[in-house]
Amino acid sequence: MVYKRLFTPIKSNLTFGLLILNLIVFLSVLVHAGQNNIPKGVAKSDAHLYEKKGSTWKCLDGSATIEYEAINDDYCDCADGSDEPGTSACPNGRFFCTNSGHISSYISSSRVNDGVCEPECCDGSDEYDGKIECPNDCEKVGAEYRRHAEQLAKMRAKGAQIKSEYIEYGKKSKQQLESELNRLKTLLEATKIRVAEREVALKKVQEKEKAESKTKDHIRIQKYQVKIRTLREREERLREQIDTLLNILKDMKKDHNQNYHDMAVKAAIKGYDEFVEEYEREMEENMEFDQEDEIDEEEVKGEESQAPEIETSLPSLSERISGALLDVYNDILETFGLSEYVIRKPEQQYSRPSDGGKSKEVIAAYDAYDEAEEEKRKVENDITEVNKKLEKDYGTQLEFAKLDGECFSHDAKDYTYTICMFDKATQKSNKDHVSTHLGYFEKWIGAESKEDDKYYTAQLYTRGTRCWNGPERSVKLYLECGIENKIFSVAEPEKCEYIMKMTTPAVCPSIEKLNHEEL
Amino acid sequence: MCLGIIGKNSNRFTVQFFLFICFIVMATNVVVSMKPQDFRTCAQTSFCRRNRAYADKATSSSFISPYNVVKDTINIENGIISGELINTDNKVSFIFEIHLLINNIARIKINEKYPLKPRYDGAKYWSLIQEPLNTLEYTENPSTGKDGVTSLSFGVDRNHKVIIHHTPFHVELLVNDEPVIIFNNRGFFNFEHLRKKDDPANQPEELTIQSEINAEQEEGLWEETFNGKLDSKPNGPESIGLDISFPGFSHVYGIPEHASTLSLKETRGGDGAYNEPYRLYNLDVFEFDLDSPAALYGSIPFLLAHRKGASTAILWLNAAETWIDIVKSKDDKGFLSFGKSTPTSTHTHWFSESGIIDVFAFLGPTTSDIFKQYGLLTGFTALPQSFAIGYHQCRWNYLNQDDVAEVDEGFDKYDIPYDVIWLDIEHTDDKRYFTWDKVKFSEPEKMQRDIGRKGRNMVVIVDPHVKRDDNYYIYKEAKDLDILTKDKDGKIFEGWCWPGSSVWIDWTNPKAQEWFAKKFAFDQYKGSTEFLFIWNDMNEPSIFSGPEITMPKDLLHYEGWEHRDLHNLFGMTFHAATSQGLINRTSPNHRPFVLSRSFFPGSQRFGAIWTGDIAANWDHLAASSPMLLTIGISGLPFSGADVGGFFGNPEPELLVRWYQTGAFQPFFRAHAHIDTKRREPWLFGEPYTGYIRNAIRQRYILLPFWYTLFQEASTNGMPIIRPMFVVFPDNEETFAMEDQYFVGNSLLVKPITSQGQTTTEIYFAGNDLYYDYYTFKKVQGSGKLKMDILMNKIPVFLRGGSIIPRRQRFRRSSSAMYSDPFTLLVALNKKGEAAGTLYLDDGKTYEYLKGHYIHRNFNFTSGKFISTSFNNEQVQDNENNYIKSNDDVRIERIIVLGVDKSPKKIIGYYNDLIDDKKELKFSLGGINDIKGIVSTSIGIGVEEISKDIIIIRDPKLLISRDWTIEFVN
Repeated sequence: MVYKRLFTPIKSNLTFGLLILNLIVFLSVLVHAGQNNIPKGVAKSDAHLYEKKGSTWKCLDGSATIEYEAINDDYCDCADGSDEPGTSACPNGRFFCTNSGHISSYISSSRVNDGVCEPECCDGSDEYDGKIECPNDCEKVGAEYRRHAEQLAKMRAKGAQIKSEYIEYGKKSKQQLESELNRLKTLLEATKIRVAEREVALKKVQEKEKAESKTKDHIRIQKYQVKIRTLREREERLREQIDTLLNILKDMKKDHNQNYHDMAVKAAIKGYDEFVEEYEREMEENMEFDQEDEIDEEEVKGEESQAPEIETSLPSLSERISGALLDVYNDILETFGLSEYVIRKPEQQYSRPSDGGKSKEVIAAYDAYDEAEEEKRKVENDITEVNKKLEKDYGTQLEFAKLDGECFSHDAKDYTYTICMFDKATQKSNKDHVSTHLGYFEKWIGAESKEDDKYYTAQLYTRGTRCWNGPERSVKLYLECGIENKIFSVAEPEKCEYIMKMTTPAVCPSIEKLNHEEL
Repeated sequence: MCLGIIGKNSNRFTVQFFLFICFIVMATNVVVSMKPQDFRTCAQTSFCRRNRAYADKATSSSFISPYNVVKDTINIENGIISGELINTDNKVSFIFEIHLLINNIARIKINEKYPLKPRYDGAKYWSLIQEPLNTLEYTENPSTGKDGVTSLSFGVDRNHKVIIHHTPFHVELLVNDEPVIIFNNRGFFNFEHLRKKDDPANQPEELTIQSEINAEQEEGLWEETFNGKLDSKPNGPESIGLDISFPGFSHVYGIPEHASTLSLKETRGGDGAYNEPYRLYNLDVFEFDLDSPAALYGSIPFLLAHRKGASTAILWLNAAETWIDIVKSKDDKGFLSFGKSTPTSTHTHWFSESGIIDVFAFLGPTTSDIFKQYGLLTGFTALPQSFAIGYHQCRWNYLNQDDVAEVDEGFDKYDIPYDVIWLDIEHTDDKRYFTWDKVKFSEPEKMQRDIGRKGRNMVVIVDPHVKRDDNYYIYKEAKDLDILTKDKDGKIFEGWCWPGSSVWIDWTNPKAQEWFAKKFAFDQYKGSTEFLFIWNDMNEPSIFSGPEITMPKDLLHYEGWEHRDLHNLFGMTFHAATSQGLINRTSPNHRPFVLSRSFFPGSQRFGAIWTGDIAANWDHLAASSPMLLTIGISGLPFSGADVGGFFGNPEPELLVRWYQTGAFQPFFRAHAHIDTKRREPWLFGEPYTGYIRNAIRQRYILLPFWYTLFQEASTNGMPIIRPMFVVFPDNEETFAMEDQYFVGNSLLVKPITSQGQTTTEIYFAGNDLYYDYYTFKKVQGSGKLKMDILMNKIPVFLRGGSIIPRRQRFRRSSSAMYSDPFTLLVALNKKGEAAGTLYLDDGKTYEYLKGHYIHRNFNFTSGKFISTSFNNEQVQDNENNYIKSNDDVRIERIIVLGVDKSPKKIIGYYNDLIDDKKELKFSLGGINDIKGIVSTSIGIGVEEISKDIIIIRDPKLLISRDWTIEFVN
């Protein structure tokens, strides 16, 4: 290169004057080194900014006026770096690569003559001091780029088409849901009326039969049944939580480093083993009790007339179920010295229903009332379900509705990862097929605000199973345009925080946008 | 901690549940934090108990040391004074030798005259670069032979004196007739001779002097158990102990590695003192406790004593477990009286479990003399490749080659320079070092070349444990060569480490050294390229199943030596072989880069070290300064601490402060534990990313200055970061200062080590001028000054009188700066003078040893700024391969601070072309100029900048040549 040729002769025998002279020659060459007298590193479109209009030149930010020859003299004079577009002298400058045959680009001036051929400068113009030879690859790079762009465009077009089907689906299903909602609302009104009517009818029959107390009994039984359900749910929740805790301890037992001979860990493991033994024995007993109680409950349904039996068995059932589990839970807490957080057993809240006989007529009225009431509850449930679906955020054009509940898997050698969209993520070992919960859908996180285009390009799944000595597992799911719904990479950059990448037509540009781009 | 996380709205159940989880988490966390019960105390160590008991006994007034020089045995020949000692209590004989060495060093050696079997004397082979030469510059003094005294003067000026007192035996070293070191001043000298187990006549010395024998202590003589692990001790008691006094010295430093203060504390109880001695025993200690004399990963039994007007030091060359007690006294109770006034004196007591007494005394008289004397003995810091002093990005672990590529790209995207990306143990195929995980790192060579293409490098870990697997070539070859460490019965020792069941190569075997070095050849180490360098971790050695997480002491090494004898140097033998392997793999040889965690005297010749597994908290950040300063003055200046802390997640403020501090420490690497959140510099958003970028850029701008300091360390042993007392040896106020320090003699650095801090106190010593390094404002006043601080930088000051070479162009890596022009920063002192140096070479090969480098001396006096060659060993320009490869590197800018009046003109010329003078352009430090050129280029925002500065615009002078710039008034 010219620069190099002028500089290399400078040896100990060279005079200072010659050096200066050489530099001046070098400068003028450098300034005019670009095409058409454009200083090196300046885009053609900016050439006018560097036109010579006298002996001085003003920095583009106006910060200083310098001699015209000081442009690209490898010394930074302007605060904005504008006097050194072709050298690395300014910390904040930028260098223009023409890249004929490919797309022009700017690189940071810190990358000029740094001994590295910048991929962004396929023409090799960023390295001109002769220390390294950068080939002009623009033709090859450009062709490759165009080929790739073509493929991409095809893919995007196809993706856009599929997306439009998704959008159509989303609109339709929304309409369907909305009309369903309207239907249900109407139905709800009707069922409410029916419930009221039947209540009146029931009351009449009851009055007639003077059997108020029986109604009360019945309502109480119903209340108990609700209560049982609640308690069952609660039991299940407690059981899950205990299982989580036990799994944490189990992992610790399995994964801890035995060679550290850590007494605290050893003690914890010993306690865990003892506890598990006790716990499993108790759970077996509970199961037997549960089964007995199931039978009791059946009896309750069949023998409503025997109210006193019901009264004694129901509370004991609830105590039995939650009590045994609570004991276990409280044991754990107390083992760790947290007795203040022990959950007290529920106190008896229900008064005994009074007794009374009942006639067939009353029973029929009850049944009719029950039926209406049941109907109403069902409609209410349906409304809740529909509303839930309507409230889900399926994107600005409802393009994600199609994916709701769809599951996609990725085999990553040791594990298979599965995402069920808008629901949950799991990891399943390919060795022992043990499945680990990675999290439930929480929200969109592609950007801070919904207004941002990127908002609908990433989802967060949280509240997965907690890691030993770590956080609850979670997944960030990043979506890219593609014609298939497919997870293509899974990584765990930090312990228990997974990153999945997936292609889907749902994030491809819309047909309108593509058309707009073409224009 | 746990309660803080529970939100206000948490329901009762959540709270209960969460507490439970927390409890378990906290209980299991114990696994990764230091537990004192894992490691022995003095009381749990029989030879420590015995020697302390001996010292206690010796302190009583009736005690007289039983060791005397045997009459007429003293012989003086060729600089060696030798003689015989006898322990008058048990009649055991010893030979002592005092060697008067060149370079103002004396050496005292004591061994048994008739040991049952040889005692270990091998540390010298590893630590000393050669057998030191005796001086013939000595004269016997007239007092010799009289009053049971042998006295010689030595040194060219005969200003050093050694006085041997015969009864009881003790030795004084004097400089200019003032005693500086006294051996056995307090009579703690105790040499447990080797004995047969069943010989009742052979009670250990301290037991014979005790009226009642403690059964428990006696148990420790022939075997000891700690945490259920038995040490068989087939040789029985064999410890050695000696007290060494430093009369008139109230401050002593050194004996790393401890998380302690720079000026060492007393260790026998009392206010602000430790109860345990400082312990030297290389151990893998998780998240170690601070302010503690407990042993850590490395050991350098070098102690430096300093007072106004004098410095002295000793090296206790022994690789067995060693403890050091330190006490200070106002009124010396020893049996000697020395000097007239009795200021504070420091008394040390050293004892090692086995081996011989071999102590070197460095007589200074200045600290820089001592650093040089120590280096001449044990070797100077190897000059690293220039990339090694750039910024290193590490994490346990970058997941795979894509992750590596993304992190590498991240630095370019966020315009943050870095030089090296590191891979921890997970890069291997199941912890088989020298192999790659086939899935995660399927193309290791391509990965390295992609990094290398950008002028960057990679470091991967090679640990000393070897997975027991016959299909693993390293294991197979080492087993076949019979170079594995053996257990006490001569079978191959098996222990537990990262790969599971493992064995350890015995690098003390020369065959192992040779074989292991070959394993780094490119054709042996598959997937390695010239861009790959090595990290030696776990080389204390760390053995999960071993006593104190290390090797059992009764294991057997080369030539049958017990591990006990050489434990502290074992890690260095591994470091040495690795380093040699990297040197050998290229032709012509390239300089190696190997980071080690364990170290011993001599490790400086093999590479850098770091302070191990520290925690991401403010206290550990603060502790890094005294630790690194201590390691630096102990002959091992290339050291660093994990930026950000290893365990735990640093909050952004802590991370920023850590980067700002790390940028001014010799080895600059960020590292993080596998359980921590990712913390690459751009993950915290603005303003944090910007602060971190600025901190790293500061490092890169100053690389020429750092490299020059490394060159200085590699030739004269000067530490790179220097404690205040080294720079101001006569200013007593600085002697214990450890929260501020100097880089070289020019930059005063004050790390900010607490959260939310807005002001700090900085001590400006003496009569010097100081300039704010960033704004160039003169500091008004001296002594302790309170200053406001901001988040964007830590306080750094330029000391008046310095000239600092910088390369101010932002680049992506150090190699990208190879040809960049220089900016010289000239900070004038009150006399209007300044001086500095610059050393440059190819940063890679050993060509510099043949003179292919540039070494400049810069001098600014009386308005004349002159650059001359530093010495005559530099090869002439036209023959100088470095200059030839880089012949157009010029000075693009000179910034002169503290100019009291503007010159009329400034002219410049090459000294051999005195008639060809050119007028240079310059400007006075207007805000505009500075903002555009200086402040943007160092990345600091708009700040008012001092005006009494001159910026010379592009003098176009070549850096390699002699030139002069004159200010004409």
